Amino acid sequence: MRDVLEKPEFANQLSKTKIGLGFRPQLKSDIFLYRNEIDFLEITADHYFDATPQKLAELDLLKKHFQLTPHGLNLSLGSAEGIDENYLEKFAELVEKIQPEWFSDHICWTKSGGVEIGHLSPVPFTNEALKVLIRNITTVKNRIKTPLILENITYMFRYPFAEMDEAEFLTKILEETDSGLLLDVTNLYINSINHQYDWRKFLDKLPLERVVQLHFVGGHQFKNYLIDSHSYQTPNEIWEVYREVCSRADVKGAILERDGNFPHFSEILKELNTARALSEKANFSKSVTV
Amino acid sequence: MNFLFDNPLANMPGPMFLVLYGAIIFFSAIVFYLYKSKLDWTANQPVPLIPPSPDPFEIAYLRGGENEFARTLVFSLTQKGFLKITNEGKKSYIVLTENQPNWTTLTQVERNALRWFQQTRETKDVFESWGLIEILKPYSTTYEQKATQNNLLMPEEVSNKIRLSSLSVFGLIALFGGYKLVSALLHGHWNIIFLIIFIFAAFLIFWFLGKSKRLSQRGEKYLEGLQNTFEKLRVNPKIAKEYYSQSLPALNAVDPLLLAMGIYGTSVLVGNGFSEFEQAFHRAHNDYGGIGYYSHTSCSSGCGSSCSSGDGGSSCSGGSSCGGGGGCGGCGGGGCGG
Repeated sequence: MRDVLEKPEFANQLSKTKIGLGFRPQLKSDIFLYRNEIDFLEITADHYFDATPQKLAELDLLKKHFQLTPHGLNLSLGSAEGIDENYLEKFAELVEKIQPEWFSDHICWTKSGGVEIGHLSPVPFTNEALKVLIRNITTVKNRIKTPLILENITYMFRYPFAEMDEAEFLTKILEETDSGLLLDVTNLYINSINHQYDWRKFLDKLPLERVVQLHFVGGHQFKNYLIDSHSYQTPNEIWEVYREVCSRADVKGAILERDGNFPHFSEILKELNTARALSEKANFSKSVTV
Repeated sequence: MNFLFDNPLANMPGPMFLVLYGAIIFFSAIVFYLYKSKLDWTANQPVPLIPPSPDPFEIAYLRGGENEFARTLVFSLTQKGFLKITNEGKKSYIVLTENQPNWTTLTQVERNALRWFQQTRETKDVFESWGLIEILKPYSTTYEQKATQNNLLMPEEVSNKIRLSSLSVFGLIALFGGYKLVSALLHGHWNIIFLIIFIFAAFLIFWFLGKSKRLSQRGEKYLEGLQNTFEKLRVNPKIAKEYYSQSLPALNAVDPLLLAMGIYGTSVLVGNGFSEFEQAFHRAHNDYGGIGYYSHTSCSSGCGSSCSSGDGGSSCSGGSSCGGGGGCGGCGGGGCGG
């Protein structure tokens, strides 16, 4: 296991653990009625690019009442053709506008040959893909000075010609680019089931000192596969991953990433409270250990 | 006759002058309308934050003055089982319920209001000068002071400036028309009726433009923010009421239905099982002769919708700030990996 006390430079610039929610317009009234229970909101950055006046007003409203962090879907960091400058510019403007502590996107590709595929697709775990990612992430970091954190995705297949495993691949990206990790514990758990590996061993290989934020939510099962549909309550198995990560890493924030099949808001609050309790317990244990 | 009354303008044929005069009135009105909004300096101030526990009565007061405050309060007391509305013929009455719940759970303002209902009241009595609004005066005054301090109501000096400016512009226009009128008479033209009508029309236009809204631009934006934020409560307050009464922890003491009433007015009650309440107050409004009775309260929904009830503003229908669906935009089908 890696030395968790070794902290990268950027980690010291970020503040303490917060528990929040992915903002979805359907939840707006509830979010404001119970805003004391929500430490911060993650907004989908793409929803505010070329936005209507109504969306801009919404962004303004959210910004005034919550600490926000933008989460991108389409930087397409794994695209060999490079970063879409136009998209990057919009992202930079949004980050400039809301002044978040960090912003995030996925380790994946969503565009090729100028065509958007509308899906977060995995990159092969090869040195060539690594070079592409490092180049693209450097481009983004050169343009946007706010810390960028990178999220692991789920994948339904593995490229057959991988030169390293996923944990090694993620580690190299994070260290080569001095980036933080947005560890989606749901994605980690789902991949571990779908591809039959031990998520604890996976965690052992990751640079957990780079974990800045977590995502958690429940998915569903389809035949023999788990799907990260973001539409169900977080199951106990994923809470176990969450608890384990919190006990090993200095997590700054965790976001419940519910996208559909919205339950009664009490269910969402309950999940936030569970996350908060687990984080606090883990933090307390760590402080006692230290 | 000297140059004063013998020049191209004084000699201009009447119809041509009326076109010119009409155009001057029209463009002056537009310029004044634009200028008027610039006078409200509160537009440049940041909009206040939405409170963690919004006060429905305060919001109702902000939206429609003391009448809306009274209406929301009566609704609150009927919801809590202290009051009930009965209909006899074309009249509606508000009476205390036979089995009164415990008064100690009530706030001071609610208790004061209930005392006023010790005798049966007709719905319209609520709005009489001696009615419930009089009982609520101290609370209304507090809300007014707070709203004034926060620059949510139109500042007095802005209203005065707007009035003075409109009067000045109208004065210039009237002077110009008057000059032509005198010229026409001196030239023996007596067909001046249209010119007089134009001057009167200009008076009406600038009298209307010289009126200020009750809410400042800051106040309108604040109210609009509330209406956009709590849109879910407006769509179906009854469902919202049931939704929030299920198993939410008591983190927030705000009654969502009352909040909806405070933010949007009685129109949110229509078709949601509360029509009786809305009808009773609508009847009270009609009994008293329509808009005039409530005209001192203004609807300032600010949500881009119109005020159709005429009774203090209750029919805001637009203003959702939600554009586009939520969720992970990049997802298609199952498993976006995000």
